[in-house]
Formats: sequence, C-alpha cells, structure tokens
Amino acid sequence: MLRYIIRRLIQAVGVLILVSILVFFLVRLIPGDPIRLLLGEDLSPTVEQQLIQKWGLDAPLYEQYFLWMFNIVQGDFGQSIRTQEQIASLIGSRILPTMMLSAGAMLIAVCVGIPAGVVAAYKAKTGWDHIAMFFALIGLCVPHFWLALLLMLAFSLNLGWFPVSGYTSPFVDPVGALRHLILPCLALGIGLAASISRMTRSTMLDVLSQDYIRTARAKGLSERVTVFGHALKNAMLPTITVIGLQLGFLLGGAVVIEELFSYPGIGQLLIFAISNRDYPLVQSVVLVFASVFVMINLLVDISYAYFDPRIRYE
Amino acid sequence: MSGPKLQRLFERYQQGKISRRTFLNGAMALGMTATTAMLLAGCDDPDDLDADDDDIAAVEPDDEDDAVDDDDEVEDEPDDPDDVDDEVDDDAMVINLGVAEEPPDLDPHNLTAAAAGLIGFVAMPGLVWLDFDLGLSPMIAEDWESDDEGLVWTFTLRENLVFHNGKPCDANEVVRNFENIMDPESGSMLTPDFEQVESVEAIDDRTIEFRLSEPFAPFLAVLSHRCAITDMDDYDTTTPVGCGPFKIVSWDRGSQVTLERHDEYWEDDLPHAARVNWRFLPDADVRLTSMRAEEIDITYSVPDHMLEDLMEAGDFEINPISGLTHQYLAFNCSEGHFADVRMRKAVAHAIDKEAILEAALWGNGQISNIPHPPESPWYVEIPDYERDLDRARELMEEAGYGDGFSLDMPIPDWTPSSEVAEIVQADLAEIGIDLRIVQTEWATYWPDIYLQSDFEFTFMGYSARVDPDQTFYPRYHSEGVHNATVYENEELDELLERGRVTIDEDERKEIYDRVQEILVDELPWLWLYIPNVTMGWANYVEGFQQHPAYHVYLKDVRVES
Repeated sequence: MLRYIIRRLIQAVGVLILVSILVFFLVRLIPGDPIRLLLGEDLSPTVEQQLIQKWGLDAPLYEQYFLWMFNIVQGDFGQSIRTQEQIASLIGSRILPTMMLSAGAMLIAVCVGIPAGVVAAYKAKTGWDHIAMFFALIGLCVPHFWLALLLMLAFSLNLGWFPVSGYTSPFVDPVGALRHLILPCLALGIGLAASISRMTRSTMLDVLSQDYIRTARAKGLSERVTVFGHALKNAMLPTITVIGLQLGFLLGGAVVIEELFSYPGIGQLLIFAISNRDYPLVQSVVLVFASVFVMINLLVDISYAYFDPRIRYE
Repeated sequence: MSGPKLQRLFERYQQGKISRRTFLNGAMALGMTATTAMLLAGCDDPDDLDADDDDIAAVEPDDEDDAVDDDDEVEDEPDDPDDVDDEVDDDAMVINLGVAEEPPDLDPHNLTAAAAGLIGFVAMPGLVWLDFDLGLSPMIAEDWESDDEGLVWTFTLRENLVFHNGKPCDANEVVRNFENIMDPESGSMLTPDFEQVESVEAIDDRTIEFRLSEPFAPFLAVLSHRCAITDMDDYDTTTPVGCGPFKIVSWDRGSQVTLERHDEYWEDDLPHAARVNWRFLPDADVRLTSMRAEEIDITYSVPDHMLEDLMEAGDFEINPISGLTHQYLAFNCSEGHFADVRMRKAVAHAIDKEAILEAALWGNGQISNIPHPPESPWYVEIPDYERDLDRARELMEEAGYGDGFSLDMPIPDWTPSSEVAEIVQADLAEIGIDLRIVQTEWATYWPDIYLQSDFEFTFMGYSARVDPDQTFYPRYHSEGVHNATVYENEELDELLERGRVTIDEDERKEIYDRVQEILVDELPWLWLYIPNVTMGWANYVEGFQQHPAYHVYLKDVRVES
C-alpha cells in the first residue's frame, strides 16, 4: 500500500509539471495583455513599457517559465500583476471559504443523495422510488444559480432566516459563518444530491440482484445487514468516484454561486485572474487546482481498497 | 458631575445607548478621574475593568482636546477601533453599501480601476475634487491660485489635516506624494498627467507650489482624478491611509471592504456613520434582494429594465441623473470602407438613436451627439444627423459603395453591446450594409482589437474625464495614445494643442465648442447616448446624493434604523 502511494505521488509530480507547462503557455496563447488591461483608459506608452519590464514580460518565454518554476519549488508563488499582492496569501485567504463551501455542499449531497438512492433502489418501482427520482430529476434540471435566487427570496427575504449574501470567517463568528454558508451550500448541494441519488440507485439495483445478496438473505442475515453491510458497501465504488470528481469540480467550479452570494471562494479568484490575464495568478491557481484534483483522486483510489478488499494495489 | 457634556454622556449611558467602556473612555477624556468614572458606571470591583484599561490609557493623553471639542466622537468611538470591535455601541450607525465591482487593489497612486477610485475618493481624498455639479472644489486644499500665465500654482492645505494613522498631513507630505507620482520609476498611471510639472515644493507647512514648464489648463482636473494623498511612510496597496472621513480598516477579498469613521477628520461632527460596509455584490438581482431585505442601504446601478417597476413600487428612492459615461460607434478612419467620411455620415443618417437607447437602457439615458450632457459646462448645441435613409443611400452611392457590402463588427462582451449592435445591424441592413456581429471577451477586445485599431466599425463606451482636454486629446489628436480610430486632422490637432495651454475659460470654451463641431461633422466616433446614473437608496437613508461620475460620498449620510 505504502509503495503504491509513493508511486502515485511520484506520478503526481509528473502530472503537475505537465500541468505547469500547459497552463504557462496556454494562458499566454489566449489573446489579451495584462498590462494594457491594467492601465485601461489611462494607457500611456511609457508606463506600459515600465510595467512590462517590472513584471519581466519582456524576457523570453522559456526564461519566464524556468524563473517561475524555480521560485515555485522554493515555495514562492510570486506576486499578482493585477493586485500586486503575494499570490500565496491571495490563494490562502480563499482556500478556507472554498473548502467550507465544497464540504458543506458535499455533506448535504451525501446525506440526502445516498439515503434517497438506497430507498429508491430498495423500494424500486414503488411510490417511494418514484417520489425520490422525481425530485432527483428536478434537482438535476434546475440550474443552481436560479435555485440560489429562489433560496434567497424564500429564506432571506421572506423568512429572514439567513443573510442574502456575504461571508463571515468562522474564527470571528462561527454562528454567523454557518448562517452565511447554508444557502450557498444548499444551492450547490441539491443538484449534487440528485446526481448522487441516481448513481446510488442504479448501482444498488444492480448489486441487490446479485447472487451474493440472495445468499446473504438465504442464510438468514437481517435485511439491515444485507442492505447496508453487503449491498451498500459494494454499491459505493462508483458513487465514491462520482463524489471525488464532483468534489474536485466544486473546489473550482462554484464560481457562479460564489459570485451570487459574494462569497470569497477560489473560483472567483480564478475568473478574476483569467479576465485580467494575470498570468502568474492564473498559473498558480490552476496549479493548486491540479494538486487538489490529484490528491482527491489518490484518496478515492485508496478508499476503493476499503470498500472492495479485492483491490490491493500491490 | 461637571459640565453639560458629561451630564449628557452619563444620561446616554444610563439609557443604555452607549456601552460602559465607551462611557468610561468619554468620561475620562472629559477630565473625570478613573475612580469616579468607575463608581458612576457602577463597577465596584476594579478587576471588572481589566479589559478596559488599555482603552482608557490610550484615550487619555491624545484625545483629550478633541473629546472636549466634540463629544460625538467620544461617544461613538474611542481611539483604537480594534479594541471596540466586539462591543459596538447601540447607536453606532452603519452604512451598508452594495457596489457591483471589487477593485483589484487600492494602490493610492495607481487607482486604475474605477472601483478602486471610488474607495480612494472616500478614504484618500486629493487636493481638489469633482463636485456634484461637475465643478472642481476644495478637498484637502482649502484654496489655490495660479499666476496669470498658469505656470505657478499655489495650494493652501486645510488646517488640522491628519492621516488615519494619526500622523499630521502637512505640505511636505503632500509634496512627497507628488514626487512619487511624478517619478517615472514609480509606474504610476498618473505620471504622464504631470509631464508639464517641473517642480513641486513645500513653501511652508500648509502651502505647496507647483511650477509648470508650460501652461496646462486641465491641471486642476488632473488633480481631481484619482490623485490620492497618502502617508508615504505607510504606503500600502490594500489598506492605505489618507485623510478622508472614513478609514479603511480591513478588506475581505471577494466580500467587502470595511471602513470606519476617522475621528480626526477635518470637518466638525462629520462623518455621521461610525462604519461603512462597502460590499461587493456583482449580481444586480442580488443587490436588489439585499436592498429589500435591508441588508444594504444604498445600491449601485439599479438594472434599467426594472427601473420603472421599482420606481412605481417605491420601496426605495431612485432618481436617475445625467452621467459622465457615454457610448458610441467608432469607425476606422484610415482603412476600409469608413475611411471615407461620406460613409460615416451615411451610417449617421441610417441609425435610429431612440431605438438604440430603448434597446440598450430601456430608455434610461439621453441620446446625444457629443460626449457632454446639457448639465456640463462644456456642452454645446450642435444639430444631429436626421434619420434619412435616402440621404444615407445617396452618400453611399457617392462614396462608391452603392451596392452595399458585408462587414465584421467586433464588439466587447459587456451589456448592452449586443443589444446596441443588433439594432445597428438592422438599421444598416436597410442601406445595404450587412453586419456580422462578433462579440469578443473584454480582455481580448480592449488590448488586441480596440487599441490595435483592428476594426472598421465597432461599439464602445467610455467614462469621460471632467476636463475636455482629457477626453479629447488622447483620442483625437493624431499623436493621442488612444486614437484607435486613427483619425488625423490638422485643424483639430492645432485646436487640441491650444486648448491645453489656454487658461482663459471663455477662450477655452470656444476652442472645445469648435472641437466638438469638427467631431460631429467628421464623425470619427458617432456618439449614441449618455446613460443615466441610477443608484437606489432606502427610505431611511438621509443625506445621500448621487454623483454624476458614480462616485460615492458618504460623510453626510445618516442611516436611521
């Protein structure tokens, strides 16, 4: 197991180097110019020249790349062109809100999605199944930004339970942080719950018709142990894969929700970086995303061994 | 108990309007001993006060004079805001402002983003400001004069100017700011505006003298344009200090900037509010929902399509006023079909500006053929091209394009460019011009298409600077840095050069009247309309005034809850 993990980690470094090369050159291939965007209407050739030199954008590309990598290896992400702040602190301040948002949304999705899927499969083709799948279908169809606006209208404006938007740090005010977190988590989590419940239902249906479930029932195991101990555990593999992938997307893909709730997540930061062609910032954020993705995939793979002991990775 | 101020303070404390800590701070600042104050406040156990000791010590030496002058300050906030964060007074007034855009940074001498400028104006005012009537009024300079040739400008600073960090702001400090702005190494966007300035010197503590190499009429206007004065020893690009009525306390990126009252602001009894939450809410619907939920008190730009309903509903105050931005069609004057002025005029005769305004802004603006609204001192009445398709076809015929042609029209990705482009497309189809609209992301459009003049015909917008030189010179002088339409006209060049160095107001007005006549006649740009400034504020907000350049000034604002 340990050897497997080490091998995967070494592979991960390779992936990250590849990502770094790709993002470095791709972001420069898109048309646009960070300095001219920065200066906007106050453009002047002398200032422009100065800023190009200041940010080293006049050096040959390979030189810029190696300098960037050289600094990254030493833990120095450099400075953002647009905000002039240290990129490490820009990303650092966004990581926690994003993780809370993703974790909260995923928690809602798992807590709702998996039980709903199990019930739907166990009571397949009954009213329970239809109700669960009806809501799942709605959950899948409703765009999350629209859902977000509805949630705001219902829970903030009419009921006044939660603030419309904004963010509070959990270190300053844990209750306030939670109140700010619930609506965006719901807006993101409901759609996810729908896809997780459908996934769980279909794999559960498959597993429940397997011979070993019949055997389990035949030897007199209780329904509870049969369904949760044997069937669910085996049905979890594909669901876990979906959860892992979705978690990866959530970390960077919640931009719309972040914007709507003016929630300072990292997706917002990436959009900001791209639309300003803030090269160093784009590169660093993408690299961080890639690392998180690689790590989540690794964790998903390791969790397989728990759910399916036949997988041993040796 | 001595003195009416102390009496009032005590009453407010008894009524529970101010906290014990605030009462103690205030009482001590008014000269009462710590023991008496504590007895009054009803703490018999001195240990009770452990947490407050620092505040008391901090208030006593520095704030005594101010406190006696003005008890409001004492009541609402002691010396250090950090110490009272967890104990805000009951009557502490908080303004929640919802704006659309978050600035990338708050670099005092590089407030390149409009969103940064807004916060800059509140926290780090410059020598002069662009007032609500588009005039230039005293800000941290209370007075100024220039010699007859406009070569020597002398500014007198207000008395008692103090930075948010407690350091006095004197002439030397202001001079250091301008030295940095003028230093080509600083990379400040303002540097080119000060090319004419030869030297800047502090004559005494409150007097600053600029010497110019040649007369430069827009000098005052330049000083009002995001030209922030900060403490050069404390130069910071996220929470910079200035002398404004509110100081920037913190910036939660992606969420809000928090400002608090500057106790040593130069105007007595101002600002009213103790705190401003400057919130970034990019989505207009969310801003409106937040207004209705009373989470924000003042909102930036109300969506035009909802304007009528909102004004009818009367949930909050909305009162559109003329603005400074303007939107236009631009032609490439050196290449392609529109290098011939007759073709530009054909377009002018073919389009329906009223329909465009309706489509773009639901009518919330005014059509225009120059960049100045009638309220502006630089407005001049020039007859506009009438919609006349026959005349348009004739002009096309004369220019040799009688059979029509097809053309790409690149436009930026912000609203309402596609709405405008579609109406223009329909209008021009009637005279045989077949437009293909190509919408491009701003980050590509601005540097690679617009600034490179990589278009024959396009739609753009611009927020005008207050001085016509700043609006016209960079865009229409043949050497101008923004001359994206590649327009060249010797008479215009000569006028623009003369406009810069002419100090006499009337003479300048004549020059720019002529400039605008030429531009309307020659049409490098075809101005369409001037959008209104449309903010919304709650009924319980008092003292708020909209600014034609969308600046937000909050010192006079009261929020009654």
